[in-house]
Amino acid sequence: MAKKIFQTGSEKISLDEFVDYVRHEVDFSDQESILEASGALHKLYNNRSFIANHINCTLRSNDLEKRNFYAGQAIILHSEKAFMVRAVAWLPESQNQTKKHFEKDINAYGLAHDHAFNLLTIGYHGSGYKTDFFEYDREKVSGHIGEKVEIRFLEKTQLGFGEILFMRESKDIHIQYPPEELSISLNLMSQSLSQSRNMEQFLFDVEKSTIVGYPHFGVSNSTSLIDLAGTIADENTLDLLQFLAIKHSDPRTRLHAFKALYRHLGESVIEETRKDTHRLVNEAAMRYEFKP
Amino acid sequence: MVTEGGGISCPLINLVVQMTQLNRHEQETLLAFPLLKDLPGLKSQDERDAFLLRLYESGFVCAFTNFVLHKMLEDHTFFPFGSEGVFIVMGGPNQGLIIRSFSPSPKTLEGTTILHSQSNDVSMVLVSKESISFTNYTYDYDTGLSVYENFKRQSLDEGALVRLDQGKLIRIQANRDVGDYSAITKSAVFLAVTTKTDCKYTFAFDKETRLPLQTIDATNHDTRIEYISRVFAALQFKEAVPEMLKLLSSSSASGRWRLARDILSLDNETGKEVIRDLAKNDFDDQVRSVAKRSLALLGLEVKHG
Repeated sequence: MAKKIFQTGSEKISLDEFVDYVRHEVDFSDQESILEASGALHKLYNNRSFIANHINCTLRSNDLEKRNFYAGQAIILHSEKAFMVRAVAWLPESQNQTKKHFEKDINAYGLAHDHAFNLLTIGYHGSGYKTDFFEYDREKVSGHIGEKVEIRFLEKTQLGFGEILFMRESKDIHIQYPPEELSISLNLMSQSLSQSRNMEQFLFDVEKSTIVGYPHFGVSNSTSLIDLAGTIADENTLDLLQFLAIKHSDPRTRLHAFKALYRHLGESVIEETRKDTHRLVNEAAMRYEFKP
Repeated sequence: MVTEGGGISCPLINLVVQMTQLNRHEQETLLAFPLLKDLPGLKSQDERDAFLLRLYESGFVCAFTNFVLHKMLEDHTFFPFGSEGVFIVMGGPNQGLIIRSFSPSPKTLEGTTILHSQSNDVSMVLVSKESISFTNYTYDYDTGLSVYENFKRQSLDEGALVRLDQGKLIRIQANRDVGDYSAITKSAVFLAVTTKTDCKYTFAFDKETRLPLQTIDATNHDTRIEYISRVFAALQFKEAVPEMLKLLSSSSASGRWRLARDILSLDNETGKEVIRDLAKNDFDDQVRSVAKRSLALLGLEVKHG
């Protein structure tokens, strides 16, 4: 299950030392190895000035937006191919009616979701966001909207000051609620490593045990471009879509490529789609979801 | 070749200079589509529109889409640059060249269909073959008023039906037009040029009542400034005050007020000066008003003269 980890000690390290440790000691394909980084993460947490110093230096060098495609609340402290170190500010519920919904959206409060990455996080400042944890079995899920999923409630908890939580990739589902006061979490997260790695994230309705959507980034960027390609395709596009439909590692990407091809090639595509080994794809063909 | 300004212009040198200022995605795009090098130099809306039509007629959208699909095939962890339905070719969503696709799925906010105003002027050419229509609403933004005053007085007009055929260009104006693309023909694809404006907020409107629901920062930058300001204050990081003072000139109205409050919590004297300055000089009347009230609470007066 999602783990809460308690570390003690007052030793502190710099961001560079933490990055160096992670780069050389952590194997991101092994969750135990990531968990072992909790000691180093706690030492970084003991460094009470590095986040503010980092932001201040970023402002001085006019680098505020460089390489940061997250919304305003996330501050990237370090990023490389295998992992990212990030600080996230969590606002209490806004009293400002004109911005309330916007701030709720930014922090995804109340939204049940999983992560396509392993996440080790520590409460760096404040009383911390509250969160409900659930888990599901990714292997049993095909991933279509409306799909019933066995979701098991784990616990209600809070990312308190100095406390560490570990959230497992494509396993833990959580819902965050606003903290009582502004809180900051410090994250170590794995990044995309290989083409075989699962990249999908889901949004859930935990009361109805159902997948209700996908986040509007990542795989959704690819699938919406493929939908667009299906609208304006030339011969080269159709070739590329055929390759994507057969070879791409992500099933939702393949499904959208098949659907885009169906618009041009018709029934023959459905037969090919049925041969796909992933349920998300072949079951869509069985249900004849391709029909307009 | 000698340019009008007397300098020496060489397309290759220009390209090299331009490349050094671009991110990796833009560099790769420019290498694949050298004709895009002209984009940053286009000054007027008419020039940008003519460029947009030339690009469209050259079959650019399909070629660029194929280029990105090819990248997805080469690297399965590569995602198109932008966000769902907005694909960035050059620049960013607030200033640059983008491809937009619309489908008839309304965005909802707690069950309400919401419509968004534009933070920038946009010219769009319809690329997809099917003719489309959508309703365009307008509202009366008064640049002399604060964002809060504008918010209180806004409502959309009754809307007008816009019909577009393939290859036709339409201009959507910041602080005025609100397109309802939720009822658009399925999968309408546009090539668009967005132009930076000083509009710090967009408004979200309720489609049914046509009344404003909320303001949204036009860019991540403004949101980030507010968060950063709060983080500095929460961590009591006094060394940040000089940089926070600089941010006052680049932030939105709510960002300036946030910075003022947080500077006050870090450095009382500097904070009071900032609030005095906002009370007297801020161009947003709501910020001036809030600053004046705060000065009164602090037992201070606005300095005149």
